Amino acid sequence: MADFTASKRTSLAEADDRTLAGRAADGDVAAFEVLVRRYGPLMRGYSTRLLGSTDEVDDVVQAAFITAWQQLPTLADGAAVKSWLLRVVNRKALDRIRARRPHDDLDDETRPALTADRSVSPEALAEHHAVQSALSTVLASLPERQRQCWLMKEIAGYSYDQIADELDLPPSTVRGLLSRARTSVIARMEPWR
Amino acid sequence: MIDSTEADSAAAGSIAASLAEIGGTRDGSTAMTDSVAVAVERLLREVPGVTAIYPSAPLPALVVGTVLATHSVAQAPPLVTVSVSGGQLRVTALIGVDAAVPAQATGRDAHDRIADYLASTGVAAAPTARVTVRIGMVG
Amino acid sequence: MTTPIDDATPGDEVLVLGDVQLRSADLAGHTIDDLVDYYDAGLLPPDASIDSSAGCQIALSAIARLRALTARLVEDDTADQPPVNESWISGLLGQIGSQAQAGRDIPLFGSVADGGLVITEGAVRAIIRGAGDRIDGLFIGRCRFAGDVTVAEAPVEIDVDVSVLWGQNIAETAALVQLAIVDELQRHTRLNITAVNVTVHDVQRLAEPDGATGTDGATGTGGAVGTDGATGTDEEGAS
Repeated sequence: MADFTASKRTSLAEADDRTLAGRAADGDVAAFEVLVRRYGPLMRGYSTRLLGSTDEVDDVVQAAFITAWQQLPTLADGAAVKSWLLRVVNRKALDRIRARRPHDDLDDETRPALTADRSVSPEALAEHHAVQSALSTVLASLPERQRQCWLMKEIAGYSYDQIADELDLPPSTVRGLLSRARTSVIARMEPWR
Repeated sequence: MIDSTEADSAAAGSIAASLAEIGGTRDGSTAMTDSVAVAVERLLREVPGVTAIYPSAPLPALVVGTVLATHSVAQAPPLVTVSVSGGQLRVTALIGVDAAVPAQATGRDAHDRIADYLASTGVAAAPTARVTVRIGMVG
Repeated sequence: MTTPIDDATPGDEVLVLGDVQLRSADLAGHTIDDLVDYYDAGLLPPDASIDSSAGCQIALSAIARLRALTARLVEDDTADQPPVNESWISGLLGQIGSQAQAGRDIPLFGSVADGGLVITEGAVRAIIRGAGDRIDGLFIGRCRFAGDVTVAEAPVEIDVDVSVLWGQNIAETAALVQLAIVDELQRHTRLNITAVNVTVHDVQRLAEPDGATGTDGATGTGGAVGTDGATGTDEEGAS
């Protein structure tokens, strides 16, 4: 049978998520590599916000992908692999955070607010960057539990109950944390309208 | 486990004798089974169409400790699994093959070469040797 | 602005928007969480108390703005990441076992007792994907086997999920893929394939390498192909 591979106009790197997730779940390492390259940066960015620094991001994202490779066969809807991967890395990041401080504080008034990773350089004073930077700063200055709830709800798309499960908190506490986080963020972003 | 009773057939008895001589370890591997494993692996690399050799048996964590204790530090467990059970030598290999050739043909070739090797070196002749080749990848 | 120690009562927050302060009464008794949930539900089912409250409308527009900003934050975070570290990638790929999804052993000759040759389900899926890889404009995704593949000659059906470029003829593509799969499996295995069921989901455009994916169109299902060569009827997906 003639091999037409070379003439194929589209490469696996352009395949859709459902196809890639299905192939990777079946053991296709090449398809898995495409997913790693496609969603690695997103997962890095998200886990950096959760961890509060870039220190452990490499390890956390690598651990997430190793788990993802093993668990992909359990993902029923391959098209949802992007949010599924965010959840996997979320869990790894939370594990890492718990390992840092075994005695968890529900709220951490006593902990100094995290400083934002990036500073606003003179070149980045265009309004877009200033606004994004402001949001970044506001998030970094939230108490840790509020920030976790906010990131998990607003970016990773967890439900209230799922957040409660992951953080081992009552759902009412999660609602309280989110309410405060949202009020805080909205109020502090108002000057940037 | 190694069976060294005198009820073995002559062919099986020769295996049993050499194994009893060397002495088995808790995981069943011996210097003899290891050298067979290495020889079979080398043989497989020469088979046209064989593109990869995968670890045949993922070792459970508990066994790894024993294996490492009985082998030199630099030596990883063999890719090809060789064991003796009830006087029968069992060889299992997990390979990848080239899609350009029918997998059945390549696999059969690999299987027969292993069986021929075992017979020709006097280690074991069929039916006392059980050779299983598993194709884990075609591409 | 520091926030008080968390407790379980979210109802007494004041939403400050510049010089406007919205309390629970201004929000028709609703909490900020209620309004976010309402926003997320697409303002459905309609809630008159929210829709007719000026305070709620102000809050909802602030929520919408924040959502847009958050989306851009995520894009920026992603784009700001350093270029992919190739040694990190190869380190990762070196740790995942390629035989993790080997599945069951499918006999080629011999038997378990006597030894012989088998091929794993994982290898057969790779054969099937390879058959699709030779056809332009489509990719085979997930593969499933129905039937006892571990028994020689037992009837087996193959189910494959396929994505095609928008505009490709779904029926033709399904037929092409069925033939290619049967061809390759006959070449490499001794499986008794009684049907190849193809589910096609077409995508508007294939994904950009940076990760944006095309929208999935309707799915069509290809029919079975028996060993006598007959082709079942295909359903066209809506284009």
